[in-house]
Parts: sequence; structure tokens; C-alpha cells
Amino acid sequence: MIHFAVFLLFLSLNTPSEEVKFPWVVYYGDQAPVEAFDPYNPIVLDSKSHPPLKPLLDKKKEVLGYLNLAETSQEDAWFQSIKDKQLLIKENPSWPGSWSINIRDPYWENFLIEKIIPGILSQGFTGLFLDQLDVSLDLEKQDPEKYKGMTAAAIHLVHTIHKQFGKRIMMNRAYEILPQVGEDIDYELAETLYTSYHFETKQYYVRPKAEFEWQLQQLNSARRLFPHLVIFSLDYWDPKDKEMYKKIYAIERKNCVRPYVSAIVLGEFVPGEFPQDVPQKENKDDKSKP
Amino acid sequence: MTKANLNSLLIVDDDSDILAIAKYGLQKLANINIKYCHSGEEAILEALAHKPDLILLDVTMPEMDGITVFHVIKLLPTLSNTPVIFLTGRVQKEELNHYAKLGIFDVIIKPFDPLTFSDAILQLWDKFQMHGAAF
Repeated sequence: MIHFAVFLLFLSLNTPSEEVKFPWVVYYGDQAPVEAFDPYNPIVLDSKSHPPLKPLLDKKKEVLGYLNLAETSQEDAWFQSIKDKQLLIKENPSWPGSWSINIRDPYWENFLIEKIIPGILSQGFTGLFLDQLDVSLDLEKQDPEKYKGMTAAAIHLVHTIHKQFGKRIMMNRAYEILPQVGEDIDYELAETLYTSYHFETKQYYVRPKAEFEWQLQQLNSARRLFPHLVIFSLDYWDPKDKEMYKKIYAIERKNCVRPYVSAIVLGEFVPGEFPQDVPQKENKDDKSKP
Repeated sequence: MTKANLNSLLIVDDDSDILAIAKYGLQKLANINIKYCHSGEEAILEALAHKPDLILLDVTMPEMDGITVFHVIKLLPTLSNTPVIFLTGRVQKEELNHYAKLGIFDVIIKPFDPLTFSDAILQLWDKFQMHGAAF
């Protein structure tokens, strides 16, 4: 009984009420002036095409480089070699030209560790933004026999990247593996937490309540298991609709995540909303503070 | 014991970006003859032709990887004593033990800092002069 009470106390101490709300930003273009990033930390940039990193690093910014762990496209220098190794699985219908990769193959892990990640970090990025692991997890869900081992491979990749490089890691979604990789990552990103974009109809939409709440459950569970984890959200909406932007920011902040809202094409710099109405409590554990 | 100067260096990596960073980092070593190769096969031919004092070898390359190149070099009488340093991102304890067992002189961890790259190479060369053995 005492143990249960202590457990409840532990849970109450780790509720997300103390989440700090410094603005962060994600931008995959290269035209925005470096001064535009002054208010933000961390900053997630495309690792191939981006504004100069040195001025950002001089300002002690944490700059994470994009790394697609589960897909490749012809724009990638390594596309042909991955294709030649017969590691491509199928084309992404939402992003034509982008192909899922058989991440179970040791060649892919080795290529990431020996080539792709050193290439990103040698530019000066202070960490990595791991994207698209949901693609691999979904393949195994859709065809457990054919794609057996995709989830295990995803977990292994995150473990290995953390172990080999020891850099700051933000992981996008992949909620199912959070219990296994929570110690390896610093930040969890909930992309399309409240809103999303429909590629066929080309329209932004609010996610069904059940999907939103399921995601919050996953995030809050992870937060309790891994108190060091900082949770971010990335929602998409038409930048002209300022009222909806305010609403999304308010909803995400109410759920104690650090929000950013943008257009679906992240090559456009959309300034974040500043939480003037939110008291900015200092949190000594918040590693992303400038 | 008289220490020999490092006069020539061969760097092998199939990634042009990594070679560009290496070139940038090695600007300080103006007195050293540095050759750059993009593949294992090219590296073996270059090494046979010019017999470099030191070889920096990428581990993961298409066609012929760094470990295969290393084995070939060790079989060639004119190159078998040339120290080889691996350029690699895989530096867990078991991986380092594996390289040591192969007879690799040392490793430089990827990504390397171009600002300290030349100093790291000169330090490893000094270490080879002093000990001449695997790490």
C-alpha cells in the first residue's frame, strides 16, 4: 500500500505542469536570415540546405540536423547505392519520389553510422532530428510476416545512434517505441498532434478527438517514464488563418507541450507565436534553453 | 631514436564531402605530400605508386571496403609496414578491439573536427614513431 502511495506521489511530481514554453522552430529552407532565428531554441534545419550554422552556433543555439531514418529520395546522394543494394521497399504516396527503406538490413545502419550521420554532424549540427520511423513501424503493422523485425530494427537504430555519437536527439513520433528508446533521446516531437494536412484533398484538418487524446496518452506516459524528456508539437495549418494559429498554440500549451505551427511545406519560414501570456518559469532540466 | 618526419599521406574516402573537410583541415600541413582517393581500388594503386608514410582509410566504401583494402596492403611487401588509421564512426569498445586485432594502428572518429584534424594526424604519427604498434 505504501509502495502504491509512493508511486502515486511520483506520478503527481512528474505531471507536465512545469513544462517550460520557450519557442522552437523547424525550417527546411535556406533563405531565412540568421537573425530570424534569434528567439528560437532548439532549431531544426534541413541538413543539406540550410542557413549558415556558424552564426547560430556562436549564439549558443542548439541546431538539430534532419535525418530521415526510414526513407530516401533521389535528392539524396546515397539513393542509387541504397537502390543498388535492393533496400528500397515502396514509394510514399504522400511524397512521390520518396521510398521506404528496409531498415533491418545491416548495410543501412552501417551506412548511417559511417557516412550519413558524420556528414551531418561535421557541418556543425549539435544534434539530430530523427524522422519517419513511423514508416517502418507501419510496415510491420500492415504485414507482420513480411516486415517482421522492422520495429526491433527501429529501436536498434536509435540505440546505436545515441551510443555512437552521444549527441542531442529529437525523435519524431514513433510513439510505440518510446518505452524502449526514451533513455536514448532528449526530445520527443508530436508531429500533427492536434491538426494535420490531407495530401489528397490538399486541406488542413483538425484530427479526430480520439486520435489527439491517444497521442497525449502516449506522450504523458513517456513523460512519466522518462522525466528528462521534453515534448514538442508540430502542427500544420494555413499561415493566413491567424485565429486558428492562436487556437492551436493555446491548445498545445494547455497540454504542456512546446508548440510550433507551420505550413505543410516547411521550406517557408513561419514565425512562431511567443507565449507572452505564459510565465516563463526557469527549468534547470530544460536542455534546450539558449 | 631518430624520429622521421611525416612526408606523405594518403587519405581514402568515397564521400567527397568528407574529403573536402579533410582537405580544409589539412591546409596547415603544407610541407606534406597529401594524396586523396575515392575508392579502395584507387587507394591500393596510389599506395603502390607513391608509398605514403601514413594511410587514413575510410571503413565503409562500396565495392572494396576499408578492411579489405587494409588486408591487401598488409599482403604487399612494400606497404606491409605502413601504418593505417581507420576513419570511422563505429568506435564502441568491441569495435575498437576488432580493429586492434586486425592490426590497425589507430582510429580517427567521424565526424572529425577540421580545426584539429592536422594536429591529430601529427600526434598519431609521433605515436607511431615512439611505439610503432597498434593502439
